[in-house]
Amino acid sequence: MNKLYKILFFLVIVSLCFNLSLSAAPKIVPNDEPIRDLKISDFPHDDGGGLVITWEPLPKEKRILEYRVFRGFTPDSLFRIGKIPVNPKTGVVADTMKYTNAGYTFFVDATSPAKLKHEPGQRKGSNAEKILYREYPRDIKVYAPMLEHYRILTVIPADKYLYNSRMKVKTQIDTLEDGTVDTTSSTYAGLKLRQFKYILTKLKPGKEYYYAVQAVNKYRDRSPLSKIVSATPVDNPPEKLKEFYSVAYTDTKEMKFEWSLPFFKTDQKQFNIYLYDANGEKHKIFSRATAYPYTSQSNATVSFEEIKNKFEPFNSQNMQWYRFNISLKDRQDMETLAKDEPIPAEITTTEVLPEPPEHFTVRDNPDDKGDKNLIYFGKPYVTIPKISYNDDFTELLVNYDIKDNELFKVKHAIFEVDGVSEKEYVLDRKVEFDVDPDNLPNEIKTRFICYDHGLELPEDYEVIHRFSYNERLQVVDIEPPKGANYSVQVLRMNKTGGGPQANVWRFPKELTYVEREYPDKVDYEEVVYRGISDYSIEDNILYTSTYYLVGTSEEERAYYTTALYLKQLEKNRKELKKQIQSLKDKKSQAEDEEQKTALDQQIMELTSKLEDVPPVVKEANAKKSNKARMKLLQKKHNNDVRSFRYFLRKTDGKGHFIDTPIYTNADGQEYFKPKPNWFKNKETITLIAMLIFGVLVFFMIRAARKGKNLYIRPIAGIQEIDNAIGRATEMGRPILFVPGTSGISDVATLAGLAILGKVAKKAAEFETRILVPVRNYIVLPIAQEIVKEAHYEAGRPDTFDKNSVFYITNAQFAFVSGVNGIMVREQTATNFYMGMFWAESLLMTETGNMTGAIQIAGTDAITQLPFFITTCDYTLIGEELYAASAYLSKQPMILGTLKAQDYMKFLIVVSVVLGTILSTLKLTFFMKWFPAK
Amino acid sequence: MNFSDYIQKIDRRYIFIILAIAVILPLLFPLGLPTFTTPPVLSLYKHIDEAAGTDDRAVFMDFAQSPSTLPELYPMDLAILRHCFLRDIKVLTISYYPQGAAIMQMAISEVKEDFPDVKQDVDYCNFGFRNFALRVPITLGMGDNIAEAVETNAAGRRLENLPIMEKLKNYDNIQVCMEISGAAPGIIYINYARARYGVDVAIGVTAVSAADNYPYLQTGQLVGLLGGLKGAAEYEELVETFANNDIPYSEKKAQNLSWRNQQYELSKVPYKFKQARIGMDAQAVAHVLIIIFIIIGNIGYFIEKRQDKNKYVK
Amino acid sequence: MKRTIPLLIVMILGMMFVVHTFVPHKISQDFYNWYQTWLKVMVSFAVILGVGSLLMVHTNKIKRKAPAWGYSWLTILALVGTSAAGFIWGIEDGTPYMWIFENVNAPLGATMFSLLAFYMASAAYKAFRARSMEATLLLIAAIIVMLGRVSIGNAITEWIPDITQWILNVPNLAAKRAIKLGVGLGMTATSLKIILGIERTYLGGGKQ
Repeated sequence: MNKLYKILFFLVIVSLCFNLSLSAAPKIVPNDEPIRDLKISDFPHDDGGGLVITWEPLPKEKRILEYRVFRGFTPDSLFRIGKIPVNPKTGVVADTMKYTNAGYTFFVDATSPAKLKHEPGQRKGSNAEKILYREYPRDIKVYAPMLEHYRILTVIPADKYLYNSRMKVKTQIDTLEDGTVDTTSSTYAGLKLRQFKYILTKLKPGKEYYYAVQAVNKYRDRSPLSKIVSATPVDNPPEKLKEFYSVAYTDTKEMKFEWSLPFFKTDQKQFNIYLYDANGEKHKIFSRATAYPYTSQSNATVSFEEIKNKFEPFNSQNMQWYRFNISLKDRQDMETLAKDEPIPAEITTTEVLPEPPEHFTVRDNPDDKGDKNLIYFGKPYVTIPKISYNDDFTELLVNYDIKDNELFKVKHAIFEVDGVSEKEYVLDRKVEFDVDPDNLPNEIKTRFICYDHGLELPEDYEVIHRFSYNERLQVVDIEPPKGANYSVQVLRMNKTGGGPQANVWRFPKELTYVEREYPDKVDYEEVVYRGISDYSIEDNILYTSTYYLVGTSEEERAYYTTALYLKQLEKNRKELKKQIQSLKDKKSQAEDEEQKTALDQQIMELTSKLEDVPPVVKEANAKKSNKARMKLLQKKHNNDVRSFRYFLRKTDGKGHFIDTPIYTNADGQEYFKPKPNWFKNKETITLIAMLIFGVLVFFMIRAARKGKNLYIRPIAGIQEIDNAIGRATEMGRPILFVPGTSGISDVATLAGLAILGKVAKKAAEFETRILVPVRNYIVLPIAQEIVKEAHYEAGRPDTFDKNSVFYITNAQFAFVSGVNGIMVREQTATNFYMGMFWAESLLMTETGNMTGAIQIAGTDAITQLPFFITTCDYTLIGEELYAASAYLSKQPMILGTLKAQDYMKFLIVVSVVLGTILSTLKLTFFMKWFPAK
Repeated sequence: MNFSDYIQKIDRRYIFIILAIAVILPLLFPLGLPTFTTPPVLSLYKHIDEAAGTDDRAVFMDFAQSPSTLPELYPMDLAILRHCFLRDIKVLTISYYPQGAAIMQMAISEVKEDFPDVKQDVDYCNFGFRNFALRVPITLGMGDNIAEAVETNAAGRRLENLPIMEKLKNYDNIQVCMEISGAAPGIIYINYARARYGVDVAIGVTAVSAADNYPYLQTGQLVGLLGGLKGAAEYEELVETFANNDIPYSEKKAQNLSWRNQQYELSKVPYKFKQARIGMDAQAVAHVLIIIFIIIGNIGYFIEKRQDKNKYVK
Repeated sequence: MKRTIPLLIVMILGMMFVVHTFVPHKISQDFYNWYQTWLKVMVSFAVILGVGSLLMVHTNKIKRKAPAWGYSWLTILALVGTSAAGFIWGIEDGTPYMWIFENVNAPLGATMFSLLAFYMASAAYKAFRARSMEATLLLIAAIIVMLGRVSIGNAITEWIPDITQWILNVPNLAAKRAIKLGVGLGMTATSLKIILGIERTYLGGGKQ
């Protein structure tokens, strides 16, 4: 009868839920209409590699989950190139949706699907069923023939390219019109697809591409395919630069120009500055290549003399007649001027300029893997983010932030308000003043006391901030300090950076007027970028060009390009020699003097190409193996591309800027390459503590071995373990042991497993069943092994049941319900929870409480401790968990470590107390030994 | 079993059922317990309210949320959006997480239902989802020019052509940068927008991570903080009393409890705009109930102790 | 031999990770990344162990006709069904697998999680008794914090939220830090014992 009620109750609940969910579920409109209004437009300001696809989103009632975009170069096979996920509940608020297919986008890599497959779920007999495909597969027979329809860029791990590529010579035989046979052979580097990081594609300008979009709803129903539309990307002229300023400085006889950088960065070649004379005629007076793919400099200094060289009649006296403009030119030589009307120059002198940043220094950034240079400059500074009064205006709270660097490391700061000064011994970012409510202050002065190891700070150096109370908004307004409109640009150039003549500096960072230090990231070059020149379907190989760049540190050429393989080098040399020989032959037959000199010229050029090789490359070429050669070249290359020289430019962004000289250190070093460091200085104190601890452990173990009686504080929870096992034996019920719910990398799990070993052994001795549910599948075999060993040790291998240690699930709460079920069904007499736990802890222990089991828990999870303490009979708190196995084994080695732990803790407590006392006495040196995280 | 024993050992199932009722009832019939505003919430409210009626100041909201934090953070989204729509404050929204973008859309459409006059791209602008990698460049770029850095709105229209952006050029026109997030919110805005361009930054976080962010409030790097459901409830209440009557915040009125009580009738407020308060009601009831149980248990314990003592005396 | 090789691996790798903590050099970072890649591969293989164990336990139960063995069928069915759904239709939004996750797994998990509130109430009721001086202090602190977290605390007196904050920030934080300190030391000691081969239970069994 009772059972019947239960079943009835269950059925009622289920039907109720079902009804509720049915009535709550909104109506779904079938997904049977294609997307409308699909349009394609050209992507602006690019190199003809971008299209923008727009369409009208389907109504919210259709519960669309995602829109899939397909592309192809013919209308009869379209591949999925992307999707736009949509929230099916809210739909799309906007009236159009957009997908941008611009720049280099993913094409294939080793993780792409193996086979060409049709897009699933299409309506039978529809066009879509025939022409839609999933992503591009990694099958070379499919993707390789498509390569020619796109621009291709491959990303290859440098090591794979340099050491694992296969050389391939491809000879092309052409029969010329006069019947002679011309053979041209080219060398390629062959790589398998899996050796590439990935292959990227970009649209080709002038080629027609086809697109279609399909909507997928919440139930994976596909809408009919939209109309297939096509478009041809066009190479556009570059965008207009938003800002441009020109300033003439009459005293230094030079002009300074400054402009904003373009938003679309991919297609740009050059900045050109033009002067318009009184007749409105245009003269180019300055031109500089952009630093693409890096950020370009956004300013230039041009002397009057240089202008005169370009535009003879230039006279600086007539500056007011001249107008200026700047243009951006792209790689197709299309040019866009920034201003519709050229602008006049602001005529001024350098007196308006601020002082350049002082004490500019570059050095290796400490404590890193060798990918940062540290740049610093200027005297210390303090920023005041907020000033506030208390309710009755008797106290002023100032929040501050110290900005300093290696040269002036601030030790203390002195703040002064209305003649009252406060010395901040501990720089805790806030300082308080007592003020007169009737006479509120309006100025705060800051002075600094620096450590001795840097430069000496002038006595009178102070930073002043002015502020006033705003009655209306009830806040304190802080005036921006003088010079706040100036920022500092860091500019850098490496050894292959186009050479000093090209003068193309990169612009990695702009710092605000408050900053004093900047770690400049210099990444390791781990990949190379190459195009694909050819492929072989039979060999399943893709061919890329073979060349490598080495810096020369020479004036005329900044870098030298060399072949990848020794054989290739040999072949090139042979060809060159052959060419020279044939030229020489020609010369001996030639009669005309003019022809002879022309031939001489050609011979000389080729000879220099053959002989004029940078020393490193010569040295490398002498190596016997390809690998040794490339190793040497790679080392040189990495050194060249990662060695930078720097200068700083302080600018207001409007043509008023001033530079520091290029930094050279005391040894005359100009280029700086970050060094990988072997020791983290910040971790010194950790290392010392670890060594002390190690020594303590060593001595304590020795003492324990010698039989010295080490006293260890008794822990109730551990002493009760035996009794708890005994209780289970008496009651004839099993023991439950949960070794935490974390993985094996958690030390708490290891500690829990160590206890499991002891408990399992005792249980085996008493012939009591032990159940070990496990949440982590790596912990499972270990726990099984431990329990098995315990049974062997106890001499009862027969009682070991492998299935008593089992995996439940990885899902947190499902695991809990599993464990709770075991407790209730098996009526376990004793429950152990040892290890790391999260929110599931209370759910388990409360159930254990309900079944009346004795519960012993041990965890280092601070948030769960309260739950364990309130619901378990005994709880091992934090470190006691780790100590438990030592207590149980009573081995001298393990006891020794425990004792050492106690001493170490004592030392830590001593240093905490000492630090507190010392910093209360305003002695901060001790505190500073321990760096904050 | 005597009385002291009984009240010490109430069957847990009774506790469960009483607790369930106590939590469900306030959800169905809001109690309207008073909400007390804490300084971080008030500061944010006042800060946002300063932009009321201006067309060259906007509130910028970054939705860094996921569905798991929805119960705590979503009421904040609604309360702030409602505040802005009520007080004619321009709002710009962005999200760098796909899930956050969905929540953003949901929040906007849900609040907008009640404001037929509020127009997209005129009174608010949804920038939509942006790739996470663009977060720093966009955050920095907005210091110079918002339209240039963000480029387009969610619908793909260029920002410079939108009416809302006419007077919103850069961070000078941003009243407050508000990031609502379940993880480590605000850091990017503190480090880039605040340090560089001096924008005011505020955050909305779950109750658990609120404590971690108090130091930023103390140092003034944050102008306001909404912590968990409680913060959301406080904000809701402020919006209800002041913004909903279209009056600016006033200290005097806020302290006048009887005035505040007259401002609205909770039962008439749509659920979406009072969900945090209702949640807090339920939480308050649950807390009180647990306290009552604890006290009952202790009464039993004391009676028992006294009886035991008397036993020994005898 | 069966013990020596694993012990050696543990010792060497353990030492290397200790060194990695102090050495920021590229070599050390690369080693760490290399290890991470391996870890991913190894961990995914371990899934087989887990699933194998689950199947074994439940087939055993069915064979033995252990009490409630019918549920074992349910477990195996759910395991096979869910995996099959994932393998056949994928795990994206809108697939049967996601449907199971959203409509079975997630609500069940949420239900278990929300039980926490009830358990907390009953646990608090049972545990907080003014048995001693310390227990009384704990009791009072608990009540203050519970009140301070909701508006009622403020309605009683505006001191309560302040006291709550103080309790959380001062005594509570102090205790937490002390425990953390102990935990840190305990972890270091345990790790040291493992690296030096003093503690070997994780290899199975006790001494040897």
